[in-house]
Amino acid sequence: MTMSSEAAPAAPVAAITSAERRLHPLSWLFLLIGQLKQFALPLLVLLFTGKHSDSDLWGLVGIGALMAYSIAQYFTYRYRIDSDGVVIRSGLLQRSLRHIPFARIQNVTLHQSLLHRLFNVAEVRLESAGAAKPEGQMRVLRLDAAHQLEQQIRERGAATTAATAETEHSEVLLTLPIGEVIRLGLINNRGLLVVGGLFALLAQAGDNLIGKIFTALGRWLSGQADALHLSLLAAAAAAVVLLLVVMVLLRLLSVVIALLQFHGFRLSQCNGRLSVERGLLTRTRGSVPRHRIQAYSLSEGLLHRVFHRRSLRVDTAVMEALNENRSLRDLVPIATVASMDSLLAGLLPDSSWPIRDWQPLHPRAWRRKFALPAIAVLAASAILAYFRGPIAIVVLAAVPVLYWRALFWARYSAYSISDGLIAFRGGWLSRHWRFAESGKLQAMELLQSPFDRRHGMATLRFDTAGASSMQSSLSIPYLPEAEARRLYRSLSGGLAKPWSSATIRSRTTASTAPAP
Amino acid sequence: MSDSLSDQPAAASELQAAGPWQALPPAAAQLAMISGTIWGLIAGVGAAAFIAWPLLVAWPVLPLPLTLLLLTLLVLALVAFGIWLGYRRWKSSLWKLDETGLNVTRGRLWRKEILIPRSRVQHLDIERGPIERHFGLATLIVHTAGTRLHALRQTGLLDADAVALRDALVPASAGHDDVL
Repeated sequence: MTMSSEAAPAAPVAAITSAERRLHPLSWLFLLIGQLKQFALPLLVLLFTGKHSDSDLWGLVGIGALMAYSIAQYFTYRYRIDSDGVVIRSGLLQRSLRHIPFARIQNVTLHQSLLHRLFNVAEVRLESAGAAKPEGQMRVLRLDAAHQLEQQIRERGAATTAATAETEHSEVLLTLPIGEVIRLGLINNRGLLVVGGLFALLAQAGDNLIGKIFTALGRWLSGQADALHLSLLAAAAAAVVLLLVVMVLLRLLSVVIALLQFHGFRLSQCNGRLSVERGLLTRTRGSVPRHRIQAYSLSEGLLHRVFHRRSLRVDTAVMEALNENRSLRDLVPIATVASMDSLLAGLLPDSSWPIRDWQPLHPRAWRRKFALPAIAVLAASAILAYFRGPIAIVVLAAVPVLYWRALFWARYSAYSISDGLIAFRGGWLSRHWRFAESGKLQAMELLQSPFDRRHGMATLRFDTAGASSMQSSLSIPYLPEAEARRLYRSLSGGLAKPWSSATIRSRTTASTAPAP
Repeated sequence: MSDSLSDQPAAASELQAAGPWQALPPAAAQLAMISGTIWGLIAGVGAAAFIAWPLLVAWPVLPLPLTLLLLTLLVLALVAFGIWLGYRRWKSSLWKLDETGLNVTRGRLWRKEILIPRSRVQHLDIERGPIERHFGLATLIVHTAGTRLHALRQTGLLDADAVALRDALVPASAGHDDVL
């Protein structure tokens, strides 16, 4: 691929340390494109709805202003590698000087779209914790300069001893051949998300566009059905076939998306830093020190189980910006069960994975899992019976399914708190594991609902940095209360000491440089 | 309630030594009930406006005075509910500072016990609204790097307690602050 780290020349680091550098001369073009992307929706609206003859003119004026702004940005943007951080000077009227210490840079991301690749440039983002926006964004650098910068930050970030630069060895942990990427597409079904997003966009567009499309589609379909003189059974069969076709098309779309995003995926490790490189047209490379990973979530859906695969996502402390797919979140998009285990064993503190001592939940956990959905189903069927009569019996068929679900869930779910790792696993048809090193916990909660108190249960919930709001947090529900309280007490003792003295630090070449 | 703390500004060392859970001062109950009143009023007026239209315009089955009486009662009921909730919230909010960090409990029906370890505190804020200033109270906000609990707000602390808690919880020296 174009982004191999071998391409970066072993530059004399000291010589270029203090020199101020500029962006690539073409960077105004990419700045402009970036700005146009931001203004794409208003511009399109202007183009389509602008009935006045001078709207084109205004559009041109706007683009001209943006262009002037981009060029000014290029001329005022300088960056410099200092002894302890990156210094960025920018701004024409409102000047800003930003100093990002190496120790604070959580991720370094290299981003190359097709256009970037055409001009042999790349966009570099320096991300620090908690910021929704990248702390420093170099848009754009020549590819070798970008590599150099990335390498420098990597070296300085890990510069505990002078020897680190020499002992650099990159080790490839995982690559995805094309078959795996296709499996990934089949499993993750991102196509559904894209289509859903499209619908949402159409719904936003107003004019009841969705309604019109659907009525037109329905009319066309019913017209076809009339023309073919289908019987009821045949029409039903046709509907099923249609549904199947739609599903297959969605999966195909997912495979295409997966190929676009994950083609040439490579996870490698170098001096305790993990790098992920991926993409067919737009290539991105992100890297993060291993000790910056905050929490892990491993999942195994139904299709995963068909293919004997699992997926691993990780949280880093960088906040997830919306619509921005971070290259590092999907650390291991797909891997066989065995290779996932060996990968995790390498990532986690010594020999804590695979977890051996899974503890069961409260013996009555299945009742809690069963009660609420069952009551909801009963209520729904009662309401249906009132309005529609005895057909409501059909709904009651869900109750035994819920019963089996609760039993399987309770049998499979378990927790483990040992060796500096806190883990919970759950699920029945699809399974998930969520775990974090205890040194990464930020806060802890013990929750008890009235139902919990009646059964003598409690929930332990742990807060980690960088968890996405979409997925459930690391929590252990339906614990026996006494056990929950004991764990709460014992863990609070462990949390009291600053984590730098914990074991996590010792296994990485992390920076111990004090903050300025 | 807060007999050990309400009289004199408590020093950090005294706070740390305090073993049992600390209740919020009685003034905080008034504060909680006032904010309960405000929320009840907002909810009550909202609910009344929601039913007023069908009752007054669409299906005016009841005579006008009776309708107005009903709506007023509804608002009053919701205000009373808000006050009751505020009182209960005050009653069930306890805090404790020990060698680990700040412990807080919330709620009675849905109980919640939160621990923010001292080593995880990023920074602290103290807010004093106009009503709080009147009662000599303050709100302490503890920021961590976490997600859901990135900012724990504890309202109704005595001003001196809030300041002492802030001083006791300030992040450790610069060498140890890299908790991520």
